[in-house]
Amino acid sequence: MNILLQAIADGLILGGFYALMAQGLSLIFGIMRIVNLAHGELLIVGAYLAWALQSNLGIGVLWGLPIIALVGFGGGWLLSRTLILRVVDRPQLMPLLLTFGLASVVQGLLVWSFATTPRITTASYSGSVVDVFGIRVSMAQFVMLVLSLVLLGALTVFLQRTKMGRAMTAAAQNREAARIVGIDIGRIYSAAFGLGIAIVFVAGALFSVTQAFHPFMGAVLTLKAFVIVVLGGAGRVGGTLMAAMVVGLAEAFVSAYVPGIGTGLGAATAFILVVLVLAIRPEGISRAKAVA
Amino acid sequence: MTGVPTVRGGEDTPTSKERGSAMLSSEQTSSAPADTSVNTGSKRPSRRPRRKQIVVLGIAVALFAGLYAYPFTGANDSIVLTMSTIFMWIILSTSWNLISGFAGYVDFGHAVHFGIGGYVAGILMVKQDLGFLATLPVVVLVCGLFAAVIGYPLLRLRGVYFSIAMLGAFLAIREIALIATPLTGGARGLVLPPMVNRVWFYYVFLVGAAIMVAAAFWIRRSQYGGALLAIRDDEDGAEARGISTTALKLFTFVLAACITGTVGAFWAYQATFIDPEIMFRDDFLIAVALMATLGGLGTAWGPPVGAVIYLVIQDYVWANDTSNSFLVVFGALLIVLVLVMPEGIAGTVERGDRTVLGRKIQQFKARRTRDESTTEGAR
Repeated sequence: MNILLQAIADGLILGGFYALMAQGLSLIFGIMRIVNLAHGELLIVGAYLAWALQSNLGIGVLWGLPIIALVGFGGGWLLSRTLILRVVDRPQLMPLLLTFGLASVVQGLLVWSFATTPRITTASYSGSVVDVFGIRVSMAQFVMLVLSLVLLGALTVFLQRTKMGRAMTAAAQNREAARIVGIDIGRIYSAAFGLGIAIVFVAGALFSVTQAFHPFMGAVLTLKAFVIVVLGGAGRVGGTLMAAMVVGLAEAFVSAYVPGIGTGLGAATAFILVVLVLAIRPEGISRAKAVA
Repeated sequence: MTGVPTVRGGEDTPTSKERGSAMLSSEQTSSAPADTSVNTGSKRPSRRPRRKQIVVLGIAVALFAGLYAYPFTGANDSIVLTMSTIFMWIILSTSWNLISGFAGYVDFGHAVHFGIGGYVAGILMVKQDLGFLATLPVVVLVCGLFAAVIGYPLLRLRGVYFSIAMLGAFLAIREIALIATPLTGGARGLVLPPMVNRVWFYYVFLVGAAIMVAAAFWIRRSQYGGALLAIRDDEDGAEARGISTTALKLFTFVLAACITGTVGAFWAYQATFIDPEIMFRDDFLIAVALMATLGGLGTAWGPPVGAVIYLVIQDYVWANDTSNSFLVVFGALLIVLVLVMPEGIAGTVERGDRTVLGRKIQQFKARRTRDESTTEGAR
């Protein structure tokens, strides 16, 4: 019984993190119809950013979050203006190859700057543990879960209530019609890309407190984010959250009940999920038109 | 193009939400207009070979003969090894180009076939004491079966999903190779019976590359290659025209997998030591994608040219440097290629001002000479 409850708790925490991570990819995919293969690498950039702020400037993770988000937004805006917008209307293969090259560059730069030793960010709450009825969760994981949910809620409000968010929703639903009613598509694309990167940076920063990370984790994370987006439908925050919880719980149960595997098979599990999901929904994300 | 790029569309390229839009926009990297046959440029296959074809064939035969005779000139071992490596990558990039360049189903996990081929050969040689050549039929069989089993569900997906699912397959199989210690030796790897004969491998890879390039030229001009290009440009349209797209895609995928697996087996035999890290290489993918993109996706002579250029750069600039500057530089190169030369060398040479780079050059010339008569190519 205790193992079961612990597995559920672990699954929910993983799910919260995955939801935030995948939401960045989902936003970009839903609006620009581009799969960003550098997504996982960019998450690790966010993690290193949090680590560098903490160890060099002494800025704690929670205080650093706005800075990290701003850097992410600026970086994403810049990337979209210099690279992504140039290939957005080309055949699918071109954005894929471009973001694949980008992933490679980012990984190389990370190894260059930080070497390959695993790092972990320390925060003021690093040592403490939340203990409810014998289920033990580290404070860092608890903070990550709560903040992920809060941010997802804020994003939903943004997409539904603000002018910019609704313009994004409109662009995702029907690009031509959005253009006709006077929405500047180029600006929306850049803003969406910036926002997506900001979200994934924040997810990386929160993640960096919970466990050690290194430059080569990116590919598996990209894969998992993609699985969640396919499963949940692009752009719909609720769908992403549900799908992320499913993936997180599945992973937690596998590592709790299948001995000797642990999360080492993370990539394999994610891949099996990809195949299953795509077998069930061959159109993948394209069917989910509505955002939020 | 000094200002901020804006997203175009709507006014000059009729975009359609459906993926079956047969509109070829001016930027589409299609190597054949939709209404003509898929022959390169103006060449028509005719009964009597033209003089140009005879010359090209003559050059090819001379090149092959020269390379064939090369080891007898008493060349040193390292040059022979470098050249056989180049031949090996020519085979690999050409086989990747079949499924990714011709059919447009970009395989981001192609290294998985290489690894499986190497491991099947290695396991059979170490655990069953088979000779190397005796393992080859099994290698082909296992690689073909794996590709068929995995390709059947995945190839029904649209391009992007296929690419990412293959990336997942690659990561997953590598994990399994690490975990299945009784079979694969896990992270400790396997030591194969040694075979130190550089020249033998040189000939294997040379003959393989010659066959592969010749096959690519034949495919480029055959009905089969035309059908693959049709799948790339407009899959629904190809289906409607009576091309059985599913069967063709699967066949091509299995073919590319078998070739890559066989090369993997030879490479494992040459290396005499395999572990998951070197057999399922991370850099395999960026290398193959760069070679084919640099040379020209969906062309016959693109990947070989790309492979030679790539390896020469790698050999002379990063001799013995396995650090991350490799990742940065080649990733950046891929980005630049996609932006300014998406058709690759072959595509740009063959189709001149109908390509991105060609248009840029033309605009530049027009600006230089202030000549208004060169606006045909700018559309």
